[in-house]
Amino acid sequence: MTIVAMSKLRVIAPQNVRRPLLKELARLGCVEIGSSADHLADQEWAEVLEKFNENSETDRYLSLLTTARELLDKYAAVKSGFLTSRRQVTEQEFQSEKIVEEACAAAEKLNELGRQITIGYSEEGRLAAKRAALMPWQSLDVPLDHPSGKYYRVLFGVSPAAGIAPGELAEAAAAGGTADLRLISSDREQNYYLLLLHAGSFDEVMDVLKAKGFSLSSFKDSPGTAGENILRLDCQLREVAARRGELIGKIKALADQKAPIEQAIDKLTIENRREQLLNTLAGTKKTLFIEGWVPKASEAEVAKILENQACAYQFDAPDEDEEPPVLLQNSKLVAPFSMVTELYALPTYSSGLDANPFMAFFFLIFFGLMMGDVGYGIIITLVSWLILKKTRPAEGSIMKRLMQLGFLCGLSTIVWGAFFGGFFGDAVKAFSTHMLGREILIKPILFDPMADPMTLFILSLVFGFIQIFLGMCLNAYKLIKHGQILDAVFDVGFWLLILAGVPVCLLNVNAGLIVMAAGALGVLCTAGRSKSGFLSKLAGGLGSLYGITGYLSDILSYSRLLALSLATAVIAQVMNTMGTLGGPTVLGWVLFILVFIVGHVFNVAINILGTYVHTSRLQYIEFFGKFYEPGGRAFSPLFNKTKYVEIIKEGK
Amino acid sequence: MEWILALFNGRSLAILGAALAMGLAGTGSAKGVGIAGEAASGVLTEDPSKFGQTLLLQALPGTQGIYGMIISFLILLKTGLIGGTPIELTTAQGFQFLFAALPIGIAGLTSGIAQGRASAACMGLIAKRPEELGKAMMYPALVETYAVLALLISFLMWLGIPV
Repeated sequence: MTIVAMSKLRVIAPQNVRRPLLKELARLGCVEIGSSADHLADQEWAEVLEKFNENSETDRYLSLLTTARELLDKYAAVKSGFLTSRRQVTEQEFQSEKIVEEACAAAEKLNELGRQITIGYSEEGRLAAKRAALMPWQSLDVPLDHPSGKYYRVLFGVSPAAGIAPGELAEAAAAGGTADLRLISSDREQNYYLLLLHAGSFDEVMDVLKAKGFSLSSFKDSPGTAGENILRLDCQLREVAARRGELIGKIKALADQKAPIEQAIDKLTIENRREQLLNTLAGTKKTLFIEGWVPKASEAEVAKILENQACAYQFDAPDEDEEPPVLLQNSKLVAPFSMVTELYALPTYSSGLDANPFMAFFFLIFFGLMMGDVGYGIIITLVSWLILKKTRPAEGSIMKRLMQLGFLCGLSTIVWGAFFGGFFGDAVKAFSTHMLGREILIKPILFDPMADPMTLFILSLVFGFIQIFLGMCLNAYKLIKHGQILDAVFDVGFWLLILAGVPVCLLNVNAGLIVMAAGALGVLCTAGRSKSGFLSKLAGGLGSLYGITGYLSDILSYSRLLALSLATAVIAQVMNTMGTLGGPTVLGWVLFILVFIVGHVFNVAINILGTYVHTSRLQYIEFFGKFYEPGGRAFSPLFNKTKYVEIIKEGK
Repeated sequence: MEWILALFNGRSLAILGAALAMGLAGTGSAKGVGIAGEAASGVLTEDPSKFGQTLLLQALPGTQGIYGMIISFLILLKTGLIGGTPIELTTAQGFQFLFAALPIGIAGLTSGIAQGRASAACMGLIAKRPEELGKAMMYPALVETYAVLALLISFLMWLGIPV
């Protein structure tokens, strides 16, 4: 219900207990540790303390393990189910050094295999490039290393395909000296030639040819013809591929090491975080100075740990000018909704007002009202429940709260669906009329919004009125709590009077008008009180009174409750109408089942998005806009955050 | 004159209304979703893991088309063109259906495009700060308010037309 009261914690700890101390505090998970080294910018602090330097030993092992895990993912991926949960381990298992050692040894092996695979790939690339270079010469039966004699030379060369034509080049070669240039093959880039020439005319011929773009090719370590070389390379490529297969096989054989490797990653990540934290602290030669925040209620537990580790410590109330981190404490029912608030912004610590319980109440009602369908409600509830059950997301994680939110909103949808008589829209009526030949109707408990939209319109505005009225009351409460009683009366009280006049009008028009007039007069007289001079005061009052349009549009904004409720119902009706077009024939049944499944899944998906967005909007803009003070910093305690395994805490 | 009267009978006007509701609002959504999609693929080239989040933002301007379809469907339903026998409408009634279709048609067209642009801008936000998806979704959602209101007015008009 409230923002948790925080205490400022200051500890002087002996350096030699730093690791067990932080370990214990992380296990408890309710201490936020700030970087005390920040104080060193201050000269007085810097004279006493110096920055603490912790040697990091975990970085190297972490990168080793992470690479190994990636290798396993790549080459030995195990098909996992659609919804999987993290592996459960006991605290004792988790802390085991032996598992980390084994995991590191396995990771070392895996990385070596991975390194060899990489070498294989680069070898393969080299061979393939060599093979590609030989391909144009494949048809030539002259060995590439054919020796040149005393009087003749056997040469190979290329010229660009865009350059001189092969025939002309051959003529030019013949004209230059005793030479025979033959085209072997050509592709889009180059022409490939065999050049036979008399040793004596080498220089002249080459000069002529080079001028026309010809250049010599040489083949190192390629005995035999091009075809023989290609066959040999193919053989080598196959060997490389076979070797890679073996290596991957060895990696697959280590697939069972994935679990310990992941556990080791989790353990070392925690240790790594601890080391990084230590590096932000200040201390003397023998001690460490730790500064942080603790929820007031957890002081005793923290004190016990600190005493066990022989630390000097002190709890203080936060100073006036300090903004402690914000932790919201809500009942189990309300807690999932805190996610909606956090997506907006946390309240400031000093405002002391947690709006979650109120917000949760309206969020639940509005969501259900806009979806308003028993069938859809059952789907949302079931899916959320299944995901919660199957994946066991971590306590307090976004996923967990989102699914809890879905579960509750699904229940609300079922209730409103019963009120409005919606079960997959008008599925029962459409199905019975067109497929069974007699009409069956489900009676809504309240009314059918399609038949009687004005009632829902009024209901929507009434909800809006109540929420805005409540928002203003909360604003007054906040002002009074901070001692601004006059502001509460003038800026909120009179407006409340004006608003309260509306329902009074329904009972007795005159009485209502009097109440509203009194409120308006109050606003007119007091809203400009900070200004000087009668005319400016009056102008301020009038200006403020003009704000009535804002309240009007805020309340009218709640008409979206009706609009989105209709949207869900009508789209469902469209799907049912389309589905029953075939009538009670075989084809008609197939059509019905297909359209029913695809259509309603589509409708649920699109409407969850629309409903969530518009429900949140009503909270953020119409409700929070009245009183909320955003800008708090979230409390982020040191705790054992794990990605792959779930630690089961044993009794303390 | 004969053919003009034959063309502008109540039923064709009502059908024109249904066509405009769907056509205009659908165009708005198509353009909006398209604009958002272009921005989304830009984000994805940097970080393919943001597919889900960008898809959510891209879907937001898609609702105008659905609202248009709702009104379109309701007009066809009330005039008996689907799920029954077509009823005879006077020219005046036809015009009434046509006018009832205009709010969602016009507001759907413009707000769909505007919402698409807001969504596209929020893609940039998601690219840098994926954790702020909740806030990013609110900006396009504010644009949608006017499509929701238009849907509501179109619906109330539709409801009030006597047949």
